[in-house]
Amino acid sequence: MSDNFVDFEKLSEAEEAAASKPSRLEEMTKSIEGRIYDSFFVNEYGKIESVRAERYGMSFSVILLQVDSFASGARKAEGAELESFMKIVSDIVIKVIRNCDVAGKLDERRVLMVLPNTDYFGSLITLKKLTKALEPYTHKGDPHASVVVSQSTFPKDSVGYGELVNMATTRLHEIKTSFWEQKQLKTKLFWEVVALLTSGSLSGYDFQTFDAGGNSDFNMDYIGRINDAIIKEIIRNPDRRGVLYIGAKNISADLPILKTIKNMGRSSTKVFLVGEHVDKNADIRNAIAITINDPRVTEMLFTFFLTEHAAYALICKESWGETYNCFHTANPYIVEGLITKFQRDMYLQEQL
Amino acid sequence: MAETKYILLALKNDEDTSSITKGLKENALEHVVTNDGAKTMEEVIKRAPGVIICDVNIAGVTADRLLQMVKSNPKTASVPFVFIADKQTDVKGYRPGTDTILVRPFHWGELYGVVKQGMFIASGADAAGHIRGDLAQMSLVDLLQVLHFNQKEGVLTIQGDKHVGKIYMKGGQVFNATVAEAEKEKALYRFFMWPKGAFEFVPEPVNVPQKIDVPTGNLLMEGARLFDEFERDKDKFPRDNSLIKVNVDTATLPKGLKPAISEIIFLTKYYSTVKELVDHCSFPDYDAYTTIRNLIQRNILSEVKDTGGPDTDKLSIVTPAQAVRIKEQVIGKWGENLNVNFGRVFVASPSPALAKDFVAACSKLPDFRSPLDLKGGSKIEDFILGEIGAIRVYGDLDIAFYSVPCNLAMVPLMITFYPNLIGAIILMDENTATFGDMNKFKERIVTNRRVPVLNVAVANSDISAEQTANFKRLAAMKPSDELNVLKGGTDQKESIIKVLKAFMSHISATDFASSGGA
Repeated sequence: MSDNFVDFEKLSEAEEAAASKPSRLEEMTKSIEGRIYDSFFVNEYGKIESVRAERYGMSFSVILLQVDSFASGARKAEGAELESFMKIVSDIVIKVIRNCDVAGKLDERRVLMVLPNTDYFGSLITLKKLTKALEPYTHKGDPHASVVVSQSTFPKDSVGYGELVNMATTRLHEIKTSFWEQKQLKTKLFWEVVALLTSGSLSGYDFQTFDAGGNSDFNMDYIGRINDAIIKEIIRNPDRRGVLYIGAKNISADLPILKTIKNMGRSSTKVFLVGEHVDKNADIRNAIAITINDPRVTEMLFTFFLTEHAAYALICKESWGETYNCFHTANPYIVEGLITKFQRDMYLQEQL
Repeated sequence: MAETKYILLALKNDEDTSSITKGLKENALEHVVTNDGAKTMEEVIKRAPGVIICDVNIAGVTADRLLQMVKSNPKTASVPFVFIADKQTDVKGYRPGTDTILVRPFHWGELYGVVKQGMFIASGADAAGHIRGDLAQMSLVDLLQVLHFNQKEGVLTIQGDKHVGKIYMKGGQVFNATVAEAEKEKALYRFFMWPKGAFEFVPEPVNVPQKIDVPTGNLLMEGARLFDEFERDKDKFPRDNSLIKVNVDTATLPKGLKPAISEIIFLTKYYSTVKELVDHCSFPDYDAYTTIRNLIQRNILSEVKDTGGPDTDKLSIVTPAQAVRIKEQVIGKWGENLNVNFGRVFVASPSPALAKDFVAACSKLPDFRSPLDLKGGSKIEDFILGEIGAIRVYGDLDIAFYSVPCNLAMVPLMITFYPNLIGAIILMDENTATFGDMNKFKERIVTNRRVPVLNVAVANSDISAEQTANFKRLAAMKPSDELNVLKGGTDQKESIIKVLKAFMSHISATDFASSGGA
């Protein structure tokens, strides 16, 4: 073939090769793990997203993931082991986040995700998915890594991107030092957690154990009033998204809370009534009744309430002589953890 | 809807103020000068200005907040701002096309041009599709007919002497109406009684639920009938401020009474004046007045003329400036958007009986509402936890009183109700034994939320100097602090006004108002 002729076969091969080769831009912005960008890119993207969210009055969230140690804290996360584990983490992050989300490595042990147009609950769902996908590597076996994930949402937590990342970092620390993590409650089953929380004496900034019924300061009518106050809180803020589980042993037609729920009206908070048995004559409106065929349900009263602005969990486990050992907390991580465990262990829909 | 056209000047620099004032005087433009954000808001509330010239670094309230507050009030939402700054700056909520930022040094001619343009916007001459006017010139019937025939969709805002009301229209049909606490037909028919008032119709998508399903033609006919009959009978109706007394045991009344009669008799359990009964009755005002008059004529109710107390309209716990600061505090701490309509106040007490005494005292105030029945319908336990009442202070802002037990074991529950918290009142009496818990409780609130906490002693009468000193010592108060006392009997009303005024002044104090978020 003369040199004057263009060899189209070779040309198309060259084009294909060029197309398959990553562009300079892609090389610059992507790290070796695939669609995980570097810290410069994700931070720049986050800043733009914060301006966009402010301009259009929308929300967006960031999720921060940090790998701390291996072998249940016995080995520090570093070197080649950390590098190879970060590849697994990156693959999981890529699979869990949506196409519109952007993830980037802040440093050798931290990954930051920017989730556009995502509110508090949206970010919690991604966080739950992420935690669940990481379970095979964090709950048992090798490397049994200690991975902590936190989130923050614009505009609830702050108005600037930098403050938002700071807030997620602060929360990361709070989670690591929380008694949920310290007591390794995340690896336990729901009923084990309930037993642990109600069996001893716990006291902290936002959690406390107390006795109810019998001769104690709080009678069972008071526990009912707590549920009533929470429903009224939902009525005060009907547009705030949230979830409320009320465990009432058995849902009978004369359950006092039914009257308040009936008058609740339209609300963005999903209300679930949980019992071992639901009376057919019970007039349940504005709530979904859930039947759980487990006798342990009839031995306790519980309330799990989570919104963007408030969190509350109350567990009252029946003791002898119509007395109850109670635990309550306003810590959002514990409340969210209890809701997740409850949904998962009772085979309920994992929703927020 | 700016009827009054004056320029509000809020600058921190005296030199700027005098030079701009000179220019405004030369051009015969009416103006008012203030030098801090709170005073500016007070002026804005008193009388809506045509334009606000404001320094971005105004003392007291930030320019962002000032703009937010002005925008959130429907009466002043359209007032344009001219911000004066030392350098190029951003003002949050800045409305391109309405607001202007001028950077020092600026030429007077430039400012004058912007002010003139602002006054033009405020007069409504440029607003596309907006209809503005006064009911004195065009009656509400005519206006609604025009909107009905043209199948308009939007919100008609009417500014009366005391209240601002809204009528929502879709496809020419009236969907809903609201004024003060009234809505639906009751609110709509109330507008017919207004002889004058500025109105503005803004065409916009209406997303409110349809609460009026009567055809507009019928509404107009009924509104006109009620107006005529009200004008004819108004001299025969009992006076608004008259107290109403029930002469019979309501339980002995026969079943199946007319709904309006049943409702008025039911409301007498909660409200004592004619105005309160009419306001809270779901029937149109004319029907409510007629029902009360008929019941008086039948001797079931009796009218006690001249309430003897202060004029309810003049009785105000909160000054406009305080109301603005309180709203600012709620928005600043809790409002990522402006849909914040209440501020929460914890009423912590060692016994529900004290919370009940507090509600009983508050019920003497004109704007106080309680979900609980003080006349026996509610049990004492109902006062242990949850909302025990609310006072409406400014626009749509309520201050909700929320009873919480003074028990440290319940702190996690208290944290759950922190959203919208603006302060706490701790009640104590001579039987209080848990001052230790009470003081720790106070400390938790002050340190965690940085909101003011007021100790109030509940007593049947005046307390001695010795008792005062004892209360102060037990409640860990400074000797120089004033102890607020909630008294019973005839002094109850006066003492609750004093307590709440002291509390509101604490809440609106600058150091708390500016204490920021979480």
